[in-house]
Amino acid sequence: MKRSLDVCGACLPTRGSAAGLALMALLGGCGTESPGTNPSTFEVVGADGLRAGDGVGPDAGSDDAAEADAPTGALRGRVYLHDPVTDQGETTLVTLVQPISTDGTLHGPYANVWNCLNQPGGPKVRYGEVEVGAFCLEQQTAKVGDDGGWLHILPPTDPSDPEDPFAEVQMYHHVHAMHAYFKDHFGLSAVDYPLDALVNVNLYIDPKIAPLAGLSPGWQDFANAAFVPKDAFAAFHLPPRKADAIIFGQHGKTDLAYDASVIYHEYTHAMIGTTRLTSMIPDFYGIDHMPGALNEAFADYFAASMTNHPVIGAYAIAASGAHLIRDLSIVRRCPLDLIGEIHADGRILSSALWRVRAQIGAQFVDGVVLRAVQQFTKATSLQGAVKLILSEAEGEDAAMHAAFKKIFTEQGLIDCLRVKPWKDWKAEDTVDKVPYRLMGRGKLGGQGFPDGVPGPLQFSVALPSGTKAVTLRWQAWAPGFFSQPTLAIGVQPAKPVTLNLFDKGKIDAKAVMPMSPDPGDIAWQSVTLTGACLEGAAGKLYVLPLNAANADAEVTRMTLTMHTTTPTGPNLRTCK
Amino acid sequence: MSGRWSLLRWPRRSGSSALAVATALAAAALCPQGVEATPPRQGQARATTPTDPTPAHLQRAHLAAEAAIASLRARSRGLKVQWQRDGVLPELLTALRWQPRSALATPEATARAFLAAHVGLCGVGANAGMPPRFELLAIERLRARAVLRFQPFAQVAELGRALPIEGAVASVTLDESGAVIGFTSDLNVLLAPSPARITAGEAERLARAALGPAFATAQVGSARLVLAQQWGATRLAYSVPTVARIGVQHERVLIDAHDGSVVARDNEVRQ
Ligand SMILES: [Zn+2]
Repeated sequence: MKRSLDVCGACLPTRGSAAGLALMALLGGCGTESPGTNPSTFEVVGADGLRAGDGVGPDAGSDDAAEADAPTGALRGRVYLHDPVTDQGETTLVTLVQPISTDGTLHGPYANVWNCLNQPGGPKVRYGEVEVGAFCLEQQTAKVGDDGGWLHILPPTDPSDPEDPFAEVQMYHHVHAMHAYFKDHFGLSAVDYPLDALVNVNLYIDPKIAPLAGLSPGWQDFANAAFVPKDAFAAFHLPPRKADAIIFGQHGKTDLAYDASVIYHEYTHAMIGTTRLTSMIPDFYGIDHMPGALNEAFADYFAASMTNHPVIGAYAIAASGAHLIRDLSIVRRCPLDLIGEIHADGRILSSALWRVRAQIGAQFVDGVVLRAVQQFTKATSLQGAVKLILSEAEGEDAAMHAAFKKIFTEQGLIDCLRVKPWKDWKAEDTVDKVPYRLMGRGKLGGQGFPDGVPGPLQFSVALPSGTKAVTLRWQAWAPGFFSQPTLAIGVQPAKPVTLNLFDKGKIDAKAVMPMSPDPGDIAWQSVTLTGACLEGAAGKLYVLPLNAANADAEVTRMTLTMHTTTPTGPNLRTCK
Repeated sequence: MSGRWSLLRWPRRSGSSALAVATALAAAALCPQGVEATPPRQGQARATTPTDPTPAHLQRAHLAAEAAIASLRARSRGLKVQWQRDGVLPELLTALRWQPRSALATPEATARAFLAAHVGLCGVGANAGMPPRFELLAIERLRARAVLRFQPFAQVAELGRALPIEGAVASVTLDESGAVIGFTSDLNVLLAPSPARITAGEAERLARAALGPAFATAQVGSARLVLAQQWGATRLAYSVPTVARIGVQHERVLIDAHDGSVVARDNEVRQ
């Protein structure tokens, strides 16, 4: 099967040193398929009577009852069912899947768990020809107890412990739980092999080299989780692994392996999101990023459905910023809540699915969605995805189909056009704090987009009658560059700007206007439009941002000013 | 992390086919030769296949797809179609039910029979496009249902062999009775590519140059010939894997084998 790095990660912000940045780059995903059997017997959590069993829930009855039923500790262990925050620090007694290892380590039928220790001996990391440090040392430290179980392994007293074996137990249990959820209830077999799972991942930077390379010395935190195809390790100048892996970092006092929702999110990518929904390609209205957003939506939705809890990352993601937590019970709509970032934009579909699930139950919704997802290609569109889901629901039950359709309609998912109002806006003040990103030519190839690479979203400007001119301003920058980015806008009255998909993506618009340095503030760019752009606009002007530079750019603030008389100034542009 | 960006295929739009094609092909004349009633057999190359997209050619491909859909609709009255982003070929068919006239031994045989009987779904027919050949990537099962995912290939006359269409997938869904109940695709109309003029070694050098001076020390792997689809045309291209020795780039660079231009860069590492 073709492999590639792809959409993954727990959506945590990149931070720290260059080494940390490099490690962050080990995000991705690609799965494979192999035949196998499924010895596990999990039950799952659901809203409609799907019972919490070994999969994620505790053993039958209370902890005490379970322990009373278990004269020996064989296969028993304690884990956080959700995470330390949601579970208020309490672990729960569970039965682990029988490992297939013979040395008492946590190598099971669907997960081979490794602790990545902050100790020398790990694979070397090179920058250029210089050895700058090493990856952590992989060892399997969680060993079965004399009673045949793992009850002796508990959360460490020091939460910043970068080598705790409890993370191994937690990972082992939840990976098998999620595998059983997909396999036993829906028959999915795409990951019927022991997926490598690394916990406590950190990176060591040689103190002698660190200052020369501009890196921080010593052990570096990894504040994220990811599905990493085996070849992707080469990108970090680590030896390729024999197989793909999911990796989870230790970041300060946060151990990402403790958050079951993050494990489930990554494992869902491994199960269904590595050979599909990976494209980002132009459509008539700009760069369509929605396949990636759909991929994230399903990873979040199934993680939430598995735990019967709508919050993704209440512990692990919260450590990097409360605004990054993804709560599927908060309804988002298309197009008003689009921001062009796939994790955030995925929340529109995942929150819709969560609402449908609440109405008609997990078993039905999860089955319908999985049957649709399995048919997706790399470039399946939002519209195509919605149609397939509705079709699968319709084939099962008319009333259920109606429930899907009603909620999809309410949340704008049917025939959503990626156009938002241009208004006074500041990324920092928004819920997600995400700027509008405009990819540059450096990433999108050299042959297309003669007018600049279009952004994922267009903006509409409502024009009151009597408007003679309109000033559009934005604060934009190209990360890593001091100079202002080379940006422009395509402008079209009355209808959206379109791309010519058969002629290299040329813009079909009334005008393409540069965004020039704003005379009032050097950090801003602006244009004041008058003339034909406003004539025949029928009260509305459409604007497509364009990036003509090689580097990516980010828009962090926007403003809008209407003029009833035509102003003067260096950035006045008259459309012909 | 952003989704994988790709310009390996020409862009497309969703929405009704009539609207999409009307927008895309506003200047197109009607197909002068009409639509072939019988699609060509798979593997049957067409000497008249154009190398560049023309409105008439795109319309012929679209009409070939519509003809295939019409024949399916005769047996699946509730059939629904979602067109690809450019409106030329279908992205997916639902409420479909098709079975071969006589039972076939395996799901793969059934899926292949479906594809062969409906090559118009891939824009083949009426001198529109070359027929793809499908290599089975995987059979993914969900209970009694099977989804067969295929990698399309196309014959390149000058090479005397078929090459994979980079990034494209077609899938066929079968139910427990063995009937075809779904089809999805992101394969575009295949045209004859312009001949190769540059060597694999030159492509590797051009790929390194495309990375820019910041990645002068990148490791560049062996160039591999593929077919890439972009802006309506099918290009013979070298796929060159690169791994930067500084930073975190892990890119595949596609170099046009005809003129050496960069067709696409696909940085597979994401942050
Ligand atoms: Zn993800």
